[in-house]
Amino acid sequence: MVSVGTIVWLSSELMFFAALFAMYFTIRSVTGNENWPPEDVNLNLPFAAVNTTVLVLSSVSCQLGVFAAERGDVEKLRFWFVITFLMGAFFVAGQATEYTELTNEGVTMSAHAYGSMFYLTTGFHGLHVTLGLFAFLFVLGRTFAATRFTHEQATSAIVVSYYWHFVDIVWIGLFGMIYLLK
Amino acid sequence: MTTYEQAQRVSTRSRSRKKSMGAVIIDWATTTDHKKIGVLYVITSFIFFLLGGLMALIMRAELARPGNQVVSNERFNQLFTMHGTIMLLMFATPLFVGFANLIMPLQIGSPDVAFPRLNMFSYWLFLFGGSIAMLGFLTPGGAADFGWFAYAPLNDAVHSPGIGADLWIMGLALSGFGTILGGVNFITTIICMRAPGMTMFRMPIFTWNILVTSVLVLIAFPVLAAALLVLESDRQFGTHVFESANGGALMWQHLFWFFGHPEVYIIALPFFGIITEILPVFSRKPIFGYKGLVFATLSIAALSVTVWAHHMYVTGGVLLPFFAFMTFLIAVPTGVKFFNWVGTMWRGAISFDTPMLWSVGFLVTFLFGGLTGVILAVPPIDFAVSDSYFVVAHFHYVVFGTVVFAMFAGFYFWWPKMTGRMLDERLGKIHFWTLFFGFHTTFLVQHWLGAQGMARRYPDYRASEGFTTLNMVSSVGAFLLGMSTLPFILNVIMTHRKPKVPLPDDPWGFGRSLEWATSCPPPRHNFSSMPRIRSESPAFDLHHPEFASAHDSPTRNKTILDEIYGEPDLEGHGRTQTAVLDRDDGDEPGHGGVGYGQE
Amino acid sequence: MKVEANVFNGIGLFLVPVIPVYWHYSHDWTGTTALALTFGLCALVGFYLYFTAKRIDLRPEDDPTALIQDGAGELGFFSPHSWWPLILAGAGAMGFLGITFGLWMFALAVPIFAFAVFGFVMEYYRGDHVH
Repeated sequence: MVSVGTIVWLSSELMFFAALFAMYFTIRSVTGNENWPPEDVNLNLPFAAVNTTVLVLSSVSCQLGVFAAERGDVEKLRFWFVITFLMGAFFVAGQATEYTELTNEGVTMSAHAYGSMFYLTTGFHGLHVTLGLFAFLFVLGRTFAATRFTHEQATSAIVVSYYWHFVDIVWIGLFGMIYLLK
Repeated sequence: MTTYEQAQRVSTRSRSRKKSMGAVIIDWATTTDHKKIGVLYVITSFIFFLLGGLMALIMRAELARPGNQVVSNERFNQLFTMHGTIMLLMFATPLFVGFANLIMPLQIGSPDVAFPRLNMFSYWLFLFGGSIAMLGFLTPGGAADFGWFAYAPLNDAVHSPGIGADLWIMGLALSGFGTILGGVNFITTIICMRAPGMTMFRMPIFTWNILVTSVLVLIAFPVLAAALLVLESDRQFGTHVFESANGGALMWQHLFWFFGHPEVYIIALPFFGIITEILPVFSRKPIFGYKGLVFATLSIAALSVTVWAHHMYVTGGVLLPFFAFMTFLIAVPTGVKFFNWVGTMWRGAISFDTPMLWSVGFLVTFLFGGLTGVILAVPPIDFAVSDSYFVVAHFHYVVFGTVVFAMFAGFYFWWPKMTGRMLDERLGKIHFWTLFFGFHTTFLVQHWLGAQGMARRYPDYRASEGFTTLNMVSSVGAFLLGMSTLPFILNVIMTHRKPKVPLPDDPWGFGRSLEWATSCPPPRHNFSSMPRIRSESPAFDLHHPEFASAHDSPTRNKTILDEIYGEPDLEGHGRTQTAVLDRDDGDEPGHGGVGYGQE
Repeated sequence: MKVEANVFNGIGLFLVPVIPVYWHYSHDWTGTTALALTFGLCALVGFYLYFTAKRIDLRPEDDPTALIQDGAGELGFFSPHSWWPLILAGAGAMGFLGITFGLWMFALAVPIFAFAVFGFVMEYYRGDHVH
């Protein structure tokens, strides 16, 4: 039941990002490919690629945690979720670094439409990653708060993993759209 | 079980007698009971309905005669903006959530919704979001005044500098998240919490429509939320997304109507569902073409995401043939529904109790609105009357015809289930006829006003334009319409002052779906016992076993038409299991019911 | 659960021919992206329900000849009443108001929101409810 609810809710999240994707593509097509991205924007592709890899790998470790939860192995679950948490935190820190660099180069939200869309799309995504980090903390907290590891907590771990995979896939879409699409 | 029930009833009564005011408030503020949350939704949205109606009356007073008499032009802009916003997003949408909360879990035999605390959270988001949007009236600049669809670039910080606009944006975003969570809750409940035997094709049409509406909520509301948050970022943080230079003006319209058109069906489908529940009960007949109604609803849902730009014909920037074609197409399943409603009543033993009266009022009113909708789908006609009172008349016939008529139908029909009391029939009929004539007087003439060229959203017109007579007629009708609420409020007060008489589970006598198989009002977790579910009307089967075998035995050798237009799942219905199996062994063709009595 | 899955799959299937046709004639990025991800929504839920239906046995609610007692047992956990939805929504409203009124209000709302989320999530893992 909780897992069905989570999937249904994630599908609505998809539509939230649909609007952001739609804005990005529309403004890009109105601006014209030759001015997109504008001259002053120098995206650090290798850095972002490393960051993306870490996020994708964190999905793997998250899934390993879920497998452990399904076996009822709470120790392994905690281990993998802590790893995932750290990788997610690495991603958020990486984003923060990238934001700082770009802002120092004069690329801000209000600089031009490209800057607006860059920060809005990655920002709303980053917010989701951050909320996901809290979700991992809650799952971990619940495993400590409960005296016994029940299927209820396994379900919490599973739904948080759904969310994490979803956020991951959205990032792959954003990464392709912002960094790769020319 | 009876002793347990009595004990429970006695204990609730003694508890409620002792309760202080504070305890009652705490009880309601912390409740997670879907019935109480439904009542909260219904009361809150009804208050918003009254506020929105009051704004409409002020506008009609202003428009009754040429010249500025009642409000300033600025205030008029705020009034039509907030009237539209309230009626669509703080009245009709939450009213759908309210009815769904009150009735849907009962109809599928569930003890509650899937996530009760989330349900209450949605309510608070709606209440706070709606209040935030209304707060604008208290600010010096007044409430938002860019129309309920807030077109860019009028919605930016330069053209609408007031904080009322910001409050409108953030309030709608907040209540929008509440609606999304409500939709998630309903879908999960319907998928995961039906009673044994309640297959999908046995769910009452109302529940089906709640499911499909919730899917549309998932599609539409997040798009609105994202657009609103980005708009606020444009206004507060200087981003450039909806600037005209970047194509933002047309993009806002696309995004808004990608939400806005499914929204029209979000507020229509649940109310179609209410009507579909009422017609068979007062026609003493099962629904005609059950599966046809289900598939018509699904077709409407699918088509409704592909018609959004028919609101944008006059921009000159949309694919006219595509949207005109799709809009014509969506009229077909709606027509199928009409066919089924008429087929349900056809040759039935109709009794015009108040709920039925409202339902027939709905059929008449909505039919007008649907037909002018087809007219407006033709681009050349739309070019001529777009943004005129013809459009205003059209959507009031559609939306008022659906939401308000079906709301009152639902109130009179389910009041005993919600409160354990029956509303007065005589006052209900007075209420209906004043509202019916008030409504049609107000809006019928607006078709002509629009065709003559009166534009919507203007606070004034000149005497020489020849609009005066029809505007006066419309305003008189509006005040009659406004007054029609008084008999209803009187009815509610009088009903609740009378001593409470115990009601049977099914006070209408021919209730069909599962909510009529539990007490009025139901206990905390809804059912103390549940009948066997073998058709879409388990309560009717329970209370009228004599009809079950004669009428609704499953069709055998179903053709494709039976599968898409025919009856609900009736396996095991009407006779004992073995009898059905016996009959299945033979291979005589035709209706199972025809051979009744041969065994 | 197959019917439930097909509700979503059906809407998604309808969009399969519509999206390319719309894109081909309109070249409208906004609408096409939104339609494409609407298809994504339907596919996500539809596939999930379809595979869950394949994985589990026929549920009593999908069995037209099921008896009420077939559904006996624990249905799920239902909270009797709770303060947390009010606190959580209050904090959320305060945060949203903060974006229009001033970031000090937003900053004030964040810790309250975090506290409310904690209370909401852990409500049945603390105190009397520890299990």
